[in-house]
Amino acid sequence: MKQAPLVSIIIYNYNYGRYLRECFDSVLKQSYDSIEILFSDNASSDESWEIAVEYSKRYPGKFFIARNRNNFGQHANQRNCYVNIRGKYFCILGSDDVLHADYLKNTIGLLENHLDAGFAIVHKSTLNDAGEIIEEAPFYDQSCKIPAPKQAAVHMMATINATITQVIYRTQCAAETTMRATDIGTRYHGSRILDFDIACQHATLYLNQALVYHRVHGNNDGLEATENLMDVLGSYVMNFDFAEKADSFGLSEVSQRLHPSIEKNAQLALRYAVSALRQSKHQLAKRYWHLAYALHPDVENLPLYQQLAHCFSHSHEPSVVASLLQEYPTLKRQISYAPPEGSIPL
Amino acid sequence: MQQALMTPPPMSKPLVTPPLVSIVIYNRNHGKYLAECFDSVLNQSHPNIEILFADNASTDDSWKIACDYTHQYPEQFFILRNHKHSDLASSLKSCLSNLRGKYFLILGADGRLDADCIEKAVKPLEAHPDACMALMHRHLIAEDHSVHSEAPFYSASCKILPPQLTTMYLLAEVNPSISQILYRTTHYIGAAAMEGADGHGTRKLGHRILDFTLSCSYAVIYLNEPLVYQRMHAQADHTGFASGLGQLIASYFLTLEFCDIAQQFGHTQVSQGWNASVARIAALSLKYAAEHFVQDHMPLAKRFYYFAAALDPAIEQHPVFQKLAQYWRDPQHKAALIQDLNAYCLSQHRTVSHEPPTGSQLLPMH
Repeated sequence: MKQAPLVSIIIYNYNYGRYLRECFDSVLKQSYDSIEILFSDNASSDESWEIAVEYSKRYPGKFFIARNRNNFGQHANQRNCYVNIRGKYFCILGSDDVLHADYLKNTIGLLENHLDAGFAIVHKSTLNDAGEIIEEAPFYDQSCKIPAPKQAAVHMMATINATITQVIYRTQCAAETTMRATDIGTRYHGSRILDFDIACQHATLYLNQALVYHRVHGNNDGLEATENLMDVLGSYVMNFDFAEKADSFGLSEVSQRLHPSIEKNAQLALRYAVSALRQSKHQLAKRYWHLAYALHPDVENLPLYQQLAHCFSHSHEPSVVASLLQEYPTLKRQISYAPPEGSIPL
Repeated sequence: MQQALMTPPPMSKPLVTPPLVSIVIYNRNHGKYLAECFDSVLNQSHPNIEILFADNASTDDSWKIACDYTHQYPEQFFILRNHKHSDLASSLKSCLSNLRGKYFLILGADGRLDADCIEKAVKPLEAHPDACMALMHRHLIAEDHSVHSEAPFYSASCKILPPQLTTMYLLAEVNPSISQILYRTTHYIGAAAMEGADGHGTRKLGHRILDFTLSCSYAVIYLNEPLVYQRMHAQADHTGFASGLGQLIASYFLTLEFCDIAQQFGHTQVSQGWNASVARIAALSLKYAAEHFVQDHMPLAKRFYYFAAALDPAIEQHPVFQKLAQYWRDPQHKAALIQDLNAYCLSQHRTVSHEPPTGSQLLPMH
């Protein structure tokens, strides 16, 4: 048996002390031994730093810990850790997230057997505030290896992307790629642009088991992003960045998807309008409805666009709203897709 | 000319070598402007200057021109050429790691500097070591080569204390571009290290984020005299990011990032500018809708109109918004509407400068 390669787990934190022990423990209890934890704290005002110090004393040699004097943002926090990575593989974990005990065993096993893969993406479940696990359909209906640049094309079309915790990187591939990863949305979407870049050149491993638990709560960036239209505008901007990146690799079959991907952004805006209506946020619903038109005027011809128009012109009459909500289900993914052509089942 | 400047200054002044200033020039197929650009730097009244030139795989005569200048001024030039077209960030990175100046400025190869630009910017930076950069007003060169200059943002040259300048970033219609700034190298490198390994020299907007970060921590010298020339190019491609809604969406992103950064520095009063800033972008979107309407670009006019409403629902009460809404409900009196919209667009150009913010120190006139 050859020695198991070292995996670096980056955990970045700001005031999530209340989740931190659960997060650390889920890493320390992995069924895979060869790990190091790189932890960076962004000047938390809660007990986070004390917990980190306590763990690093208890597990000497396993922990690297750092603390910024000020909250310089997530980017600066992660960078404290990047420079210290020693692992052949690494992943980035939000300090409120939790790993399944077999996360590393399953992903590293596959990455070691498929040397052409740049990273592995795993399916996730959601943890709510009450600590309940909520499952959704995996993106693909089976675990598979997707050759480059097929997955890059999927990144462009799939409006709901992987969260950072779902991805485990081959350090060498990511290091080559971060040299180029500089774009407008970097602060918000940096890791997705990195993923896209890797997927342009390397195969992707997809595991359809939910091996990561992603916590959703009141303070999530995601909720604020919805109010700011960023859920749709973010992926709109990202698609332009993706197209440009694909062109720089000469992958015109990927960049040609820009136009349909924008159409999809506009449709997503309509679904956010419905979702806002469901929460009785009528003004927000109208803003997303206007945004859909602004991004792609052809949405005007879609039944949903017209039904929303009807709804707004009838001053949100309860019966009109109710029938609309019934017809259009939530944003949650209901079905899994077949892997793209050319993929190899695992 | 060069020779004359090298003669020793009058004895009444102390004999100090003026600080070295590095001018980073990045280029992609701007060969036809390049000699003018280089000459404007070589003819600066400030005597101690080096040029770091990065060519991004140009297909015109740019590289040959750069080589000719390097032959002629071997001491003053560092040049490099990327074989593959890559982004601005990687060109800048190569130049930044080679620069030796105490101050530096990044200039587009299609722009140029006024002859005393660097001298006028270095002087206050030398006098005010707490300032991280000098931000200067600019001239714009139109496609027909005519030179324009709108009213400067502030009415006087001044030293602005942190974080007062950040309000300008949130409220100005056009944020300063990189060539308008002479950076103090040490401060720039410090901020770049904090913000990201790439120094945020990113393709679209990264530099503004870096500038904003700097102005959160340090004083800034503002010079209300136009000292640099920037060229405007028509955007031929109406499907691209920059020419569609992209420019406004990018400003929106920036605003969000600015508020985020200001909050990190504890400047909560800055992030309170968020609503005003979004309202400003919505107003700009409405102005673009009016402009496109006047030019009979109806689909684009309508997109900007809806984007304005998506950003700020309050704009639906704006008279211009209501006139457009009325027309699209019932298309009548187009000629009269165009006249109205034209008048509105003209009224939106900046004609007055703002007073320097509270606490600013006025600088003596040169």
